[in-house]
Amino acid sequence: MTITIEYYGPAREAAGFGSERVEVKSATARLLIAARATHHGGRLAKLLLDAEGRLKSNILIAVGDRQVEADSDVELRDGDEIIIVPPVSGG
Amino acid sequence: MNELTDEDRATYEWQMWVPGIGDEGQRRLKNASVLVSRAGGLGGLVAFELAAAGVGRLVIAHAGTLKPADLNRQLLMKHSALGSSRIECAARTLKELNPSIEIVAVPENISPENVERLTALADVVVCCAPLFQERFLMNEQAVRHNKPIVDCAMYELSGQVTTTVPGKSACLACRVPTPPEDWKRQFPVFGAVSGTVGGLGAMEAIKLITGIGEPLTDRLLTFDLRDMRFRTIRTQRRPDCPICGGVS
Repeated sequence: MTITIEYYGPAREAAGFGSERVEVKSATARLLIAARATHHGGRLAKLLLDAEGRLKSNILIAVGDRQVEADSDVELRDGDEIIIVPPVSGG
Repeated sequence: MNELTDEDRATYEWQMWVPGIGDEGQRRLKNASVLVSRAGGLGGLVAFELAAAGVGRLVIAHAGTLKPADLNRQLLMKHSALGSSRIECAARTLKELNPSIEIVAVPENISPENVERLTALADVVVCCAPLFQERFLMNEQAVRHNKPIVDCAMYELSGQVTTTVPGKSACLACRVPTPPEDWKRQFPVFGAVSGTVGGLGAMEAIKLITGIGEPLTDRLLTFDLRDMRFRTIRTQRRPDCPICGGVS
């Protein structure tokens, strides 16, 4: 199945691109993001993952227009879009 | 309740034509008080739009003196004010735009010492601060005193806006349980981005005050102006949130 991942703010900057499409057989949202962050490594991995390689709790993620709640995950379906929104502030 | 004058009707005519505003909506704006922290790229635009809309009292907290690096986005500031107080310059600009409103110019940033006093002055809080410590303080006080809070943020060419109605929607601590450890106070951004976010945040405050439209309660708008992607995400409260978890 095809999943689209959209990166916003510092996540876009760290990834170097705004979105990517990936082909997977099956996955959950959190595990797929962690896998992509590990794959890309560098600044994106540092931004999104904690020392154990898990998605940081302050990274807001959504599948479609629905936030994936803390301490839960979502089984992905073909065509799903994952949104990654790190916290930012003003100035 | 302050009533509208003929001058008010002449000044706000165009927005009073908006369905749902009219005399009653404009009267609500005239009698409203909004706390904005700070008056930089985001907050300055929020305050500018709210002053133009005739919000009766703006409480603006902002410390420090104006530097050259502020001028690409802090549109209440003037080149001639470099080296002088930012809040005084901001207040002057707002008064020039709308002399009929009250500006409470606070030459301090939000802190544990002033946050309760300043929040108590407002019907609506708009958070535009650069430091997460300030943002968490405002969030906590707004929730404690049951004040809606509009949260505005930006980075590079992207922005975020959301609105918390205490007891009904996710607060900052629900969305960001821990501050990002690598966040830097200075970051890349254009004034056109802060202006976009500030305009959206001001509209959220206007909707909350007048009752028109649907504020971003329970939703977070995120966008990237690099390729004009706009997304609205339905956010979730955390039942175990230490700030709003027990609020209903």
